[in-house]
Amino acid sequence: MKFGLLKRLAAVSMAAVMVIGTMTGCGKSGSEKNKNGDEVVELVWYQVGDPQKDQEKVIEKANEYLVDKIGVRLKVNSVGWGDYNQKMQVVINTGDNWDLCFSCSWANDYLQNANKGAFLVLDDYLEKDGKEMYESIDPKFWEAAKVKGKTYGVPSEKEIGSMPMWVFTKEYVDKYKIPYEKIHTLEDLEPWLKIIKEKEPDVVPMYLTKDYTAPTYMDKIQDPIGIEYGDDTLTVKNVFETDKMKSTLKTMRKYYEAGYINKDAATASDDKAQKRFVTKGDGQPYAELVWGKDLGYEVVASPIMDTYVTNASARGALTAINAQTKNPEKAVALLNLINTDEYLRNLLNYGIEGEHWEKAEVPAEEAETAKGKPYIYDTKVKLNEETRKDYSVAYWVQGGLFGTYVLENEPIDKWATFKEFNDASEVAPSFGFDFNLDPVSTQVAGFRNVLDEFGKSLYTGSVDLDEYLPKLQEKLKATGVDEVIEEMQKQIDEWQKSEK
Amino acid sequence: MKEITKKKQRDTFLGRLKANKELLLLSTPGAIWFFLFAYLPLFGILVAFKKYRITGDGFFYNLFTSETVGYENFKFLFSSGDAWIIVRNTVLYNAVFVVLGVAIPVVLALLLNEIKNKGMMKIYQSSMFLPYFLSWVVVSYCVFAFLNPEKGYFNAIIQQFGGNPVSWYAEKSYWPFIIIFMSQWKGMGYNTVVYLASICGIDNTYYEAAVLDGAAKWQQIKYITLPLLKPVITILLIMAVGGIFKADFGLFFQLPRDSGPLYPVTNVLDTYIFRALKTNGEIGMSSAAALFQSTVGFILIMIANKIVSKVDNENALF
Repeated sequence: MKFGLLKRLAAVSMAAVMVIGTMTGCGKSGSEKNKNGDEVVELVWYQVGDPQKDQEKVIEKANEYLVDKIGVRLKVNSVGWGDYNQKMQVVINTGDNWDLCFSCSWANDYLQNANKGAFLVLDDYLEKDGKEMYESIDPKFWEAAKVKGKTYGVPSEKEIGSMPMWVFTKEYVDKYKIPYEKIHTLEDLEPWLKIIKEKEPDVVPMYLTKDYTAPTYMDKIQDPIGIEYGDDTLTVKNVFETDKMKSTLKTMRKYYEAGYINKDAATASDDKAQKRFVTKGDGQPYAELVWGKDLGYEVVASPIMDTYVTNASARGALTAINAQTKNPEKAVALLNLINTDEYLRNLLNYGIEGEHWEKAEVPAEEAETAKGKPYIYDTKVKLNEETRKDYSVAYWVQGGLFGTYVLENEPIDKWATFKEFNDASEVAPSFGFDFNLDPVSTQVAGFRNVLDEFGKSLYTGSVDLDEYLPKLQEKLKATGVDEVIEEMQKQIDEWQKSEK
Repeated sequence: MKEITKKKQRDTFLGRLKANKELLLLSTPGAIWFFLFAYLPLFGILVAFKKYRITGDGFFYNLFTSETVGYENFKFLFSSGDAWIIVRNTVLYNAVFVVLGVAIPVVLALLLNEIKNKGMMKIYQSSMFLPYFLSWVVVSYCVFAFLNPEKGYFNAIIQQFGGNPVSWYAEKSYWPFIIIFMSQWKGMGYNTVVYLASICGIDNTYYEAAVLDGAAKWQQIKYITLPLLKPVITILLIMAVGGIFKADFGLFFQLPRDSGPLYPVTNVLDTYIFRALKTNGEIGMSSAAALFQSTVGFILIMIANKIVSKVDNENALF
């Protein structure tokens, strides 16, 4: 009786411990063997993108194949676009249970995670379990994946350079006979913006959103500082101090005051219902087909500048492996298979054949002209209009694009064109240089606030240049931009020496 | 003799456990929760003084093997030239919120209490409470419908009367008012309910006696309701003072649509920290920021409590 309370207390705390135990304990199933007698392991893969309704079904189908082929059972955790960055910081920093994850230069930062020691060094594995994919993927991508000489991720082969483009609504291009292919620089746009402004009152001549960045002729290694394209002397500059950016911003302001740009540009998110004549997009070959599909009307596009390969652009999508994974060989083998196996690649990309998509015939004429080119498959993909929304993932998250079939409305030699594009892309002088920001991390942490405060308004021309550009410079100075430039210059000089 | 043994028994640990067993049992789940989720993670404060790097398996291993960098992680908070503006914004807005957060709900609670038609009172109360449940993201879009520079209601009305449209999201002078207004609009319902509940708890006999003595409504409020509300007001006030260094992120980030020209009046500690650290993933720096906010908040609570206990010991928190 006396100890009744204590007993009850003990019972309550036991119950609590048990609940917590079940929450944190990840029930490891007993070892499973496939038909070759290999042990089957489960690999947890974090991917960016909204979870899909039929995801489990597709992964289940893939597992049927994977278990027997390489003894892997895959578990995919999709994390929405907006949450991925934050979620992964938690998962990685707290040592959660994961084996593979999506990483890149713009979310779940590849360079920082590699430097932090979160990712497995793959070089040894690439000679064995990953040999096939190592040989099939363009060496330029592998070069970009190297941080201080070591490889921490498997790149998804796609377009390697950044290709900013003007995207024109075809309706107006046809109506006013606009020679869009000749339009490249920001200044080239002016006469046409004027015509649209005068003749089409419902149309925003130049539609911009808060994500817009004015054409930048520089590899911004650590926004806002970097190396200008074509500058072989490798002089580190603040982009807002360059003549090119200054004149670009002046033009943007002129367009804004002339009413060519939507008034809410600095805070707007893309409103697809808004009629526009031109906007800016990050392109790739045949991007107009993708954009057109997205917008629901036809668009045409023209590149703003030559395409340059930078670290950021070539690290557009990679898959990294946990440095603490228990099954590094299997994880590499999995990526190897995805990047080289036609069936598996298309299953993960488009879903189950017969349910989410069907094979579509390649017109004989088209097949004829594509003969001899690389990455040509004997089928195209017709998506099932009903079920496509149940499984629609970003094509480059899981692996390279060149192993996938093209869609019905795309040319059969799409990937061959990509390959040509990649081979033709010019390498920026700073390609291969990684900035170690540890010595100046305090200063860099302050940049984002300054850039967010002034960047969007200046890029879109929404504020008076003469007043706000000096303010921006002043604040960047106060935050310590000069020290960062100095540090980067020091590192880049060392890098240049070691390269030669 | 018997009395003494009983007393002795009460003084021993087990004896005291037994004497308060019902209360202890009631508080156990809460205590366990606090222990697991508030006290146990406290040692994580260490992260703020470390340059966190992943060197081996598990968070703890990494934590203890990471390099200790002292106050390095705190520096970014004060590195920008804006540190003063950010602290000023945070403290001033919160000071206004603390004052209005008491004044408006108390007045509303008093008014609601006087409504004789209980059905109508419930309707008023619920409609005031409703915004509290909306997220700032949703509210920001509602506000955007009013303030949209091209298609918003306000600009349409202004133009109707021949005025010039205002580009609301670029004009900082309006925003202190908009922010204070929206925060009160969203939060007042919640606090009103708290005060209303304590008013309802006041014994009716006080009022009956007052009416017999011929006290008017205002006198009843002044001499009965407000004095009896004082403990609740003081407690909520002290708690609010502790949060003066923490800003409501949604209010300052979502509502102004993260518009750059408004930063001088909307950038507060929480938004500054978010922007500074959203891409670099240095958990040391984020922990440092949180520790700084909590420490200042703790000090402020202690000071506020001290002042209250000096003035009126009964109403102090502890």
